[in-house]
Amino acid sequence: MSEVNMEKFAVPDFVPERYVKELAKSCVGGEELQQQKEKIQSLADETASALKKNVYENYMQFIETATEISHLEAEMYKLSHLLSEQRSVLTTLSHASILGNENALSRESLENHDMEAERVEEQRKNKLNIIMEKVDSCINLLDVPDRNLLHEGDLLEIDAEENTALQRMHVYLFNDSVMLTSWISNRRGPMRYKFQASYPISTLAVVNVRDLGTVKQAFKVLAFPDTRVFQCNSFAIKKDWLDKFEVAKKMYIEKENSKQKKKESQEKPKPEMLESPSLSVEEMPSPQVPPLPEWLADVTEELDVLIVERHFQKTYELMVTAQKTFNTDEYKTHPQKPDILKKIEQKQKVLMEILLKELDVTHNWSPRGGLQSTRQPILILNKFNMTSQACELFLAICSHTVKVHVKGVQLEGSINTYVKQVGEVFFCSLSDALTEFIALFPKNKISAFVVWASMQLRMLMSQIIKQVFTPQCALDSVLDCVQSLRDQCTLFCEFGLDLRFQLNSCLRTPIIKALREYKEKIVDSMKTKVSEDKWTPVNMHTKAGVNKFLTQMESLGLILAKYIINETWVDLSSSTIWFAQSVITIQKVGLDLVTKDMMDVLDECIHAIFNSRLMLSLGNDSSYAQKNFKFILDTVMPLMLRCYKESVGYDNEKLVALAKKFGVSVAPPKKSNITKYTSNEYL
Amino acid sequence: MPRLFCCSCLVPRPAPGMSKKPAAQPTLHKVIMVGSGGVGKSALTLQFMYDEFVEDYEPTKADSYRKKVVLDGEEVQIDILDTAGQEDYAAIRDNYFRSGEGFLCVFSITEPESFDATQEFREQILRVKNDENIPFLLVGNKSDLADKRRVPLDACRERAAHWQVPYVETSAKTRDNVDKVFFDLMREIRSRKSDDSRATNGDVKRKKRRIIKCAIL
Ligand SMILES: Nc1nc2c(ncn2[C@@H]2O[C@H](COP(=O)(O)OP(=O)(O)OP(=O)(O)O)[C@@H](O)[C@H]2O)c(=O)[nH]1
Ligand SMILES: [Mg+2]
Repeated sequence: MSEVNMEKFAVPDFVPERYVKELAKSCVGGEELQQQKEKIQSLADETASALKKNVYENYMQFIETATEISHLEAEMYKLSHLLSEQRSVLTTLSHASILGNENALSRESLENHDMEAERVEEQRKNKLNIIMEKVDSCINLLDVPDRNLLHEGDLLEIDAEENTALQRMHVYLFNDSVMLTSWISNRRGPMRYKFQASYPISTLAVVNVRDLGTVKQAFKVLAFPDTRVFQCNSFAIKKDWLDKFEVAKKMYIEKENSKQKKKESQEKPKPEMLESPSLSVEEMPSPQVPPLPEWLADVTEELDVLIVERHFQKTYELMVTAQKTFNTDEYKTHPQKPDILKKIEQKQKVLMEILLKELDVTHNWSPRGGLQSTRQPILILNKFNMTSQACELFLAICSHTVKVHVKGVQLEGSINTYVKQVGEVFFCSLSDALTEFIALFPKNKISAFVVWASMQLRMLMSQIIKQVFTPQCALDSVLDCVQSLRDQCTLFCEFGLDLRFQLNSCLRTPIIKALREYKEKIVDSMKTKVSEDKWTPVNMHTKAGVNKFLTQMESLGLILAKYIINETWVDLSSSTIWFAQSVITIQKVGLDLVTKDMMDVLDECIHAIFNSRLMLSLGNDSSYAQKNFKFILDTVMPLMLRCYKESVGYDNEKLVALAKKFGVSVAPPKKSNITKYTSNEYL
Repeated sequence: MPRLFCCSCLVPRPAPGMSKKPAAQPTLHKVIMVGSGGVGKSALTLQFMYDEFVEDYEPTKADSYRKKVVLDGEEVQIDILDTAGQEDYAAIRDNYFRSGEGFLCVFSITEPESFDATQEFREQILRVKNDENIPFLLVGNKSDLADKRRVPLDACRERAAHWQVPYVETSAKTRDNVDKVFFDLMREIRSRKSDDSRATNGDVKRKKRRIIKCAIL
C-alpha cells in the first residue's frame, strides 16, 4: 500500500486518473480503499487550512503593500503630471526663444547648459572646418550661424536629359542648403573634392525618381534652372537621402512659419495701441514718454514664467513691486500703466486660481507633502485677502490628514490598545493642525479651528463609540478606552484648546446605556445564581488558588483572609462572592466612568443591584445563606458606602437609605477601616 | 479648336536647334501633375505609365516618371512630375512648378473643394512661370463616379473657358481620356517650344508673336 504524502501530488506531471488507478490496484478490499480516501481527505483539509493560515499571516502585509502601492501610484501620477507640465513649459520656452532670437537657445537651457551648448557649438564648427579642408574652393560654411551637417555621401550624377552617367559626386546636405562637390581624380594634399554648387533649401525641390528607364535608385534635385539627377548605390541609400531632405525641408518650413508668426505678433500690438484711447489722448501732448525699465515692460511675461515654474512667492513679490512702481511719481501717468496693471490683475487671478487648486484636497493635494506644503499658497492667499477661502481649504486638508492618519491605525489586538492609538494619532494630528493654523492664520480665525476641531472629535467619537460600546466589551475595558481618550484630551489642553466637554458630551449617552445594561445583566444572572446556590463554602483547591482569590478581592477593597478555612476553602457561598465582585466593580468602574451629571444613573444602578440581592435573601432560612446575607450587609455594604463617599465626597443617599432599611448601622468610618479598605486604585 | 489646328500646321517637327547632342534622346516634355490631395494625380500617372489602376490611396511626396511615347508619329519622351496635393507650403510648390513645361491641373468631379482649389493652383502656376499661355489642361477626374458628381459640368467648362484652357474629364479607373490629356498637353508643349524657338529666331516677343499668329489665321 502506498503511503499518502504531499510529494506525490506536487510533481509537475501528476495525473489524477493514473494516481487513482494505481491506488485501486494496490489496495486490498474496499476498507483499505476507504482508509486511503480518508487520508487523502485529511491531507486536503490540512492543505486548505495551511493555505488559509498562510494567507492570514501575510494578510496585513498584503493590505499594507496594496495601500502603499496605491499611495505610490498617486504619487507617480502626480509626478507624471508635473513632468508633462514641465515639458510643456519647456517647449513654450524654446518656442518663445525661436520667436525671439533664432540662434539663442531657450533661457533655461542657457542657464543650465551653458557649457554643454558651448561644447556642441565647438563640435559643429569643427565639423564644418573639416569639410572646408576637404573641399577645394569651398564656400565659407561658417557664415551661417546655425548651419549643421545633416547628411553626406557619394552619389553618381546622371545627365538629366540623356540618362547617362556624368560624374562622381560627393554631396553635403546642411539644414539650410545642399552643397555639390565633385571628386578630384588625381588629388594631392588634403583636398578630395571640388566645389561645384550650393543651393539653399528654400529654392530646392527633391523628387523621387520612380522611373527613369534603365537608371534605378535615383532622385532629382530641382533647383531652377538646374535639374540634377543622382543615382544611389542602393535603395536604402536613396531612401536615406530622401528622408534627410525631408527633414531639412521640414526644418525650413518650421522656421519660415515661426518667422511668419513673429511678424504677425509684431504687427498685432500696433493696431491695439492705436485703438487704446488712453494712449491717443495722453500721448498727444507729451510724445516723449520715458520708456519703462525692461523688467517692468516685460512684467507680465515674467509673471507667466514664474507661475509655470511654480515660484509663487516670487510671482507675488513681482506683482507687488510692479504695482508699487506704477504708483511712484515717475510712472504714475505712464501711458502703458493701465494696460500693464490690467494684465497684472489678470495674472493675479490666474495665480489665485492655481493656489486655490493647490490647496484643494479633492484636486491634487497629496498627504505625503505634509501640512507644511500648504504654507506658501496660504500665505500668499492671505495677502490677497482670501483668508477665508484659504482657511476653509486648509481645514479640509486637515480633515483629510486626520482621516488618513486615523485610518492608518490598525485594529489588531485588544480594543483598548486600538482606541489608545487612535486617540494618540487623532490628538497628535489635531495639535499639528493647530500649530500650523496658528502660524498661518490671524487670531480672529481661531474660532473656525475650534468649530472644526470639535466636529472632528464628534466624528471620531461616533466611530469609536460604535466599536467600544458593544455588549461583548466588558465594563472595565470600556473604562480603559474612555480613560485613555480623556487623558489624551487633557494633554491636548496644553495646546490651548479644551475639548473635554465635547468629549464627555459625546460619551454621555453610551455610558449611561452601558451602565444600565450592565445592571440588567447582573440583576438577571443574580436570580439564577442565588437560586442555584448550594450554600456551601467554595473550594479553591490549591494554596495558589486561594492567594489569587485573596489578591483579587483585595483589589476590590475586601480583605477576606479570615474567611479562609481548611487551607483552600473560602467560607462564603459562590453567589455571594460573585455578587460582591459585581456590585463593587460597577461602583468602582462607574465612579471613574461617569461625570457628575450621570451620578444619579450610577446611584440608581448600584441601588437596583443591591436591592434585588437583599430582596432575594428574604425568605431563605438556611443558616449558611443567612451567614452570607450578613456578610453582604455587614461587610460589602459598609465598604461600598465608604468608598463612594471617599470618591465623591458625599454619601450615596439611596444606598444609605437601603442600608438603614435593612438595619445596617451607618457609622462614620474609623481611621483603621479606611486604611484597610482603601487600596491605591481608589486614589 | 483653331489654336490646335494652327499648331499642327506650323510645327511639323522639332526645330533644329532643340537637341544639343546629335545622338541624343528624343525630345523631352516636362509635365507636372497638380491638384488637391486624393483627386487622382498619381492614379492618372500610373494608368498612363503602366496601364494599371491603384485602388489604394497613398499620398505622394514628389515622384517623377519618364516614358518614351510616339506623339503624332514622332518619338518623344514625357517626364511626369507627380506632386503632392497635400504639400501645404506654397514656397516649396513653387520650386516644383518652375521646372514644368506643361500642367495637368486635376480635380475630382466628386469633390467641389478640389475644384475650388484649381483656382489657386492656376494662379500660382501663372505667377511662377510668369506666362499667361503656359500649356495647361483642366482635368476633371473620376468621371466613372457620375452618380457622385458634385461639380456641375457647366461650372467646369465655364472655368476652362475663362482661363482659355481645354477642359477634359477623365477616369483613372476606366482609363477614359487618360492618354488624351497627356497627349493633348504634350502637343501644347511641343507647339509652345516651336513658337519659342521661332520667337527667339525671329527676335519677336512671345506674346506679340502669338497674338499676331492667331490674328493671321
Ligand atoms: N473611382 C475612381 N477612383 C479614383 C480615380 N482616380 C483616383 N481614384 C482613387 O482616389 C484615391 C486617390 O488617388 P491618388 O491618385 O492617390 O490621389 P493623388 O491626387 O495622387 O493624391 P496626392 O498624392 O495626395 O496628391 C485612390 O484611392 C484612387 O484609387 C478615378 O478616376 N475613379
Ligand atoms: Mg499622389
